[in-house]
Order: sequence, then C-alpha cells, then structure tokens
Amino acid sequence: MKLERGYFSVQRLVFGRGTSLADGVLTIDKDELTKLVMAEDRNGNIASLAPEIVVPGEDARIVHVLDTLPVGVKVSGEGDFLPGHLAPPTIVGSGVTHLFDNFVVMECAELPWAGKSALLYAREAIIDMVGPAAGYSPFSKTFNLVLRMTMKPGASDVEYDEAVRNAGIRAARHLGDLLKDRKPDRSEVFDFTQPVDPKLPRVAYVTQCQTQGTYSNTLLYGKEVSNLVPAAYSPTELMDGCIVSGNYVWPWAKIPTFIQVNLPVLMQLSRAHGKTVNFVGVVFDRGHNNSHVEKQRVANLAASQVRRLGAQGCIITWEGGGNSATDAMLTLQTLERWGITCTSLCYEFGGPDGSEGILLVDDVPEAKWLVSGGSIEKPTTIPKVKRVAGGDVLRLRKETGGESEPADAERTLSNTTPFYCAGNQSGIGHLAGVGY
Amino acid sequence: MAEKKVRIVHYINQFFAGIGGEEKGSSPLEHCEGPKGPGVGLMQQVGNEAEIVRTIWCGDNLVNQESERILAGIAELIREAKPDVVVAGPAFNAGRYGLACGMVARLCSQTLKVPVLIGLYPENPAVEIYRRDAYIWPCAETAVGMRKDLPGLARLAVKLGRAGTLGPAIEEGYLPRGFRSNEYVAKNAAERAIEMLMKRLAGQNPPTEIPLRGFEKVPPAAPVQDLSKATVAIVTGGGMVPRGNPDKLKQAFADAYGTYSIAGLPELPAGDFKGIHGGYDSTWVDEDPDRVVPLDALRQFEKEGRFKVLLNEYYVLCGIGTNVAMAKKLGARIAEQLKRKEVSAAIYTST
Amino acid sequence: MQKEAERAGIPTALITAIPSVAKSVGVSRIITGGGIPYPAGNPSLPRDREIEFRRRLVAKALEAVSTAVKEPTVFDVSIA
Repeated sequence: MKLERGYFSVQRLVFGRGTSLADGVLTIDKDELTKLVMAEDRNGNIASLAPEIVVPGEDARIVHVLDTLPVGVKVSGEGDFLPGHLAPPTIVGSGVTHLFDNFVVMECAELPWAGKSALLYAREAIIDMVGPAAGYSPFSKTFNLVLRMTMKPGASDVEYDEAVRNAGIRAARHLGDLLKDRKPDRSEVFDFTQPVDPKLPRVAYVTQCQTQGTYSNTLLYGKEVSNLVPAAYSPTELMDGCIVSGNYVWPWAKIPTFIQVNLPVLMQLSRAHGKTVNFVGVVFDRGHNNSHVEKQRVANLAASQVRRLGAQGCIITWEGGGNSATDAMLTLQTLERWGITCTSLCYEFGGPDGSEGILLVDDVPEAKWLVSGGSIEKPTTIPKVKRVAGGDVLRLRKETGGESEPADAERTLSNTTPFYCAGNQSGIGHLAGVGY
Repeated sequence: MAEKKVRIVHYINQFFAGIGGEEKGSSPLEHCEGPKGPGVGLMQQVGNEAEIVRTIWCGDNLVNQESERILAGIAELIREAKPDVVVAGPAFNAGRYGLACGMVARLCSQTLKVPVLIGLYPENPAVEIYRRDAYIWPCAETAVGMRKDLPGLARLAVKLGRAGTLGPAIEEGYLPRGFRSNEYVAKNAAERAIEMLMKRLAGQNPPTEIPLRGFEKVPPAAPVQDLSKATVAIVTGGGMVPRGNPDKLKQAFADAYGTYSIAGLPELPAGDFKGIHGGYDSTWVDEDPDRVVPLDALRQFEKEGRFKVLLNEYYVLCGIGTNVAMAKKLGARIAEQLKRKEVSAAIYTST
Repeated sequence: MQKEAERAGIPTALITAIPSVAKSVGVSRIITGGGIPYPAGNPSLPRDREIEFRRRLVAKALEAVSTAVKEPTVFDVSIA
C-alpha cells in the first residue's frame, strides 16, 4: 500500500471562542467540545468532563492518565483514521491522512477500583512536564488536551472502558476534522507498492501487545485481541490507527494509541524502506499467554509470519512485564534458530545502583543483542508542582487498601512504574542503562 | 600551566619484583621508591603525565595466608605515599596474585578510599569476587601479553588518577563492574535497535547493551526417603493472602513474606482469602484459592497417608519484579522457618 | 526463593505454568501447571475434573520431591 501523511505542528494551544487552527495556533472551544462529547455519552457514565490544556515546559503534572490518542483524519483512501471505533472496521493504510505530530488527546479519570481483580485496574499514571521525571514520557514534549473526567458510580469496568475511549475518540475526531481541507506543514510518503532493490536487507518488525482483559486490552480494527493469531500487516495500516490501546493497568509498561500510530521502529524502517532496507512487513501479536505451550505456540506462529515475509532480520518489541517478556524471548529464539537475525529492546531491573541481582526479567541464550530501555528500578524524587491536570490526587497501593495523596506534592517513588511509558517499550525514549 | 603529575602506587608480586617464582611465594612485604618490574614499562606509557612514586610487593602465598597483617602493612605504605591512584598487577590469569590484587583493591576502595585499577584476565576467578571493588582492565591470559596490555592500563591509570572515576565501561574498556546508571543518550532505543540489527546483518558483532542473566547453580537437595513420614509445607509466589491483606504485602517488588495459618482448613475458602498479585488476573483464584494454593488436594493426600502431616501454615509473597538479591533473602528466611519446623519437603507454586 | 530451601537441604517441587523460566533460573523439580492465573487448576474443566487435575498435579509434586534429580527436571502432567 501507499500512504501519504500530512503533518501539522502546533505552536500554541489555547481555549477560546470557536475551534480553529491558524498559523500554528490551535484554539479549542471548551464548551462546544464538552457538549459534543457528553451528548454522545448516552448512558451517562461520565459524570463530568472538564477539558484542560497542558503544554511543554509547564510546571505541571498530569495524573490518572489512561489512553493518549493521536488527532488525525483520512483525507482520501478507504476507511477512517482509527477504524473500528465509532466507524466501520474498513482496512486502512492507503491514500492521504492528515494528523498533528505534536498534539494529543489524553483521557484522564479515576476509574473506580471496585473490581476484584488484582491485575485489572487502572494504576495511578503520572506525567511530569518538567523536572527529573519529564524524560520518562514522550508526552512531556507534546501539547496535551486533557479530558479530565469523573465517572458515575455503579457501572461495570467494560462500560467505563468504552465510555472513556469513546469520549477520547469523539474529541480527537472532532479536532481531527479541522485538518481535512488544509495544507499540512510537511508530508511524508510511504510507498510499499514499488519493487525494491533485491540487494537491500529484508527486515521485519514484530510488535507484541498486551491484552489480558478489560483495562489491559489492545484493540485491532475495533476489537480486543485475546485470542489473536499473529498475522502480518502493512506498516501503513498501523500508521492509520488499526491498533488502539485500552491498556491502563501498569503505566510504565504500555504503548498508548498515539505511539501505536507512530511506532518508532516501524516509522524508522518505513522511512528507510527502499533506501537502506527492504521493510517487508510488521507482525502483530499478543503476549501474556497463559501457559508455556501457549507462549511457545504464539512465538512459533509469529516467527512463522516473519519467515513467510522473507525476512533476513527482525526487530521485536513487546508491551508488558515478565509474563510477556517470555513470549517475546521465545519468538526471538525461534527466529534465531531459523537463521533470522534478531535484536530487541528491553527495560532493566537491577535495583537502585544496577548491581542487585539480574537486569533482565527473562532471556534466552540467543538474546545476545539487546538495546536498553533504561532501568525501572531507580528511585525518582518528583518535585512540588504548580499545577496538576487530570485529577487532584495520586491513588496508591490498592492492594493494602488504597490511599489518596495530594498529587502536587514532592515525593520519592521507589521505582519508575507509576510513570507513563517509563518502560520505553516502543523504543521512543532516550533513557538507557549505562554500565560502569 | 602544566598539570600536576598523577601519583601512582604500584602493587606487584615476588615474581614481577624479580625475586623469584612460585618457590618465593612467602617472600615478605617490601617496597621501593619509584617503579619496578612492569612499572618501568608502565612509566614509559605515561610519560610526563604520571609517576610511580612507590612500588609495593609481597609473596603471593604470604599475602593470601596472612592477609590481615600484610594488608595492614600495605595500607600504611599506601597512605604514606599519598597516591592519586593505586595500580595492582597486571596479574593475568594467576590465581593467588589475582586474589592479592583484588584484596589490595578492596582495601583501597573500602578502607583507604583511593581510586584503584587492577589488570586481570577476564576469567581470572578474582574478577567475580572483586568486580565491584576496582576498575579492572582486561588483560591477556599470561605475561606474554604484557606489551599489549600496558598502554590501556596506563591510560586509565592517568585518567582515574586525575578524575577519581571513569566513564561508561563500554567507552573506557574496563570490565563492567555491575553498576548501571540511567542516562539520556543521543539516539532513542528504537534507532539503536535498528542500528544493531543492520550491523549484524552486515556481518558485524556489535556489543549488547544488556548482558544476559547467569543464575547461580544450586545442587538439588536429596529427595525425601520415606514420604509417608514426611512433613510437607506450601510456599507460594502467587499472592494469595487472607482477605484484607493484614500484613499489607506489596503487589510487586516484594520486600516481605506472609505466614498464615491453614490449621483445620480442608481447603482455602473463597472469600476468606484473596489474590493480590499485580501481574495476573486474580478472578480465577479468588473464585477458588486452591487454584494457586492446592490445599484441598494436599489435605486429601494427608488423610490418605501419602505423607505424614501438612505444616499448619503457608508462606506467601507476590513474585513480580522481585530482584534476585531480595528473593534470595526472603527465600533463605522461609527456608530457615521450614528447617526449624522440620519440614521434609515443600511444594511451591508460581504464576 | 526455592533454591534457598534446596540449599538448606529441603527438596522442593514447583508447580508453574512457565517451566522454561523455572528451568533457566535453575529450579530442580518443575511440574507444568495449569495456567498463569491458575497454576494448580484449570477452569475450562468441569469442577470435579478440575479437582482431579489438581490432585494429579500435587501427586506429581509429591512424587518429584521423592525423586533424585541432577539438574532442572520438568515433570509433565496433562489433562487428558
């Protein structure tokens, strides 16, 4: 397929009368947006919606972050941006798509901790725009429209999940429509329809997602993928949003939708396609399989797809902790045994100075070429901030009863797990573990 | 303005001091001002930047056998000489000489607080023991490689003497000591992963950024001889605790374990026990806690006499993100309990 | 954790859904369990059959601790 992406960069983000984009200034009509989103929440699961703006460089902290969405629109080619969500699940990835490259819609809400599962609940998720934790998340550099929501008690997790996602997508679509008939600041074309120099190395990418039940799901063309059989896709399908995230369980180990639409490995290989590499395709699969045999099965199926694409080399990334690292490592092992060269990237443990015990949560003997995403076991002291968006408190330690503490205060967190995307699993971050 | 010369104190053994080989292993602790033996070669490498102000040597056997006394003497000699850095070796793959260098390194890093650099063959057993006490420059297996090893050793000695610390292992060339620092680097992880792959596809062997784990091998304990006389216990990493989590165990990064009574219980009753492990959906084990603590089956076998008795309590923590050092500590404490209560065998479950 | 008990001379057996991890860590006696959220069970079985499966898992664990092993060994228990 061939896709042209037109990018728009925001210089300023403000609330004002009417919604418009002019000379890099995005003005959002707060009331209009709120009315539009709330009108569609027909079951009234959202008790209140208060949009907030948070911009790079602000002395601000964002809390209760759930998913973060890209804002875009398909100008031509089949289907809608983010297909399958309030839109038909039409196969996308062709034609022209316009999107903001530095503006996102963030869903923030204190989702009720009423469920009984020890895994499936939205743990507190923090983004610091400045200070020592700012680098943990790519969203300290984006202009963020925070949809601060409160939920009406009494509904189920499935309903809350849908409600917040739909609210985010409606807001994102409303703003994305601004871009339809406008000339982008810059464009890129990704053409996978042309023959490629046969001497270029053939490289594939495996992106393994997390789906373990409501609040930890990833959705493909609109449906969660609990029984996913790994398959190959055109990179441009992912660029048009065929993968949407509904994963809020562990903030450090997640890939929100904005990144699913801009996966750094996929984007870089796509840009290099036809020049220094033949990017033969992307395989999408799911980790956290429940038994060794199931893990090996998925690993084999994913590897088989990579082999079928004719890849000589492959990069593998995954989303989640040890339970999913195993699936990814088995995938790597199967590929290496078949003679397909692999690299992967992974967060580290190691304790506060890196010397305590092991660095990798899991490995196989063939995983001898790994890139570091940084250690998640480092303590971080976050400063007192002037302003908090998305909520007012940090909700901590559900397993011991749950406590709420003021979100603006200075505090030391013993590891980076509450920071949004701190595990750097898509490879978007510059944090790395350096050995001394 | 000329920079001050880096002051080096050099530690070597009886062989490199020109006294003799193995047979002179008990030669006493001695010293001289200025370089000796390989120190002379080292001086040629450092030029005007540094000077070896004192060389200390001792017989390898003596320093290993009477280490307390000898190290006290070495400490005095080092303190007196006021070095910016201490260099020991290179000891290549020599066992006792390597250990001696390691001991000097530990003395410098823990007691004297002087930067120290030693030269060892990477597989010298002293490396694992003293890895964190010194910067270790990787050397050849034998002294035949001395010529090749001295320039790097010298360069690092000067740098260390001036700065007090060194940059990342991968840049400076010393053996990683095991410390990891989170730093922001120029290229993001995705870029580096692609670069690493392209290098491999081009036939190169780029270094990994994260070394693989190596787990300590512990020989399996001898099996139970007569199960019918045995006391059996249950330990779980699956986070199944009494409702309300009375000891406030953490859902991940455990730093404690819980001990709870199962006396008189034919199974773990749902509702009274709850899963709190943050890494798996606890719905199924909440419905039936025996799915992670198989008490019902164990009680059956106890009744049938398959084993003598089930310990009246079980041990639990949540096994996610537990670093190995902590897991060992907690595991050892639980093992201690098991031993005290004369448990013959234990069944563990994990998720 | 388990290796510490072995070090103290107490034979142990691990019921786990991921024997590969246990093997690479060096656990000596490994019983392949039901699934990650239910290592000693299998909710897709009817209740009485699940209990029977659990019995077989525990029986295998008891057998394992009574068996001499030289290195990490996996004892399989299937549901069929």
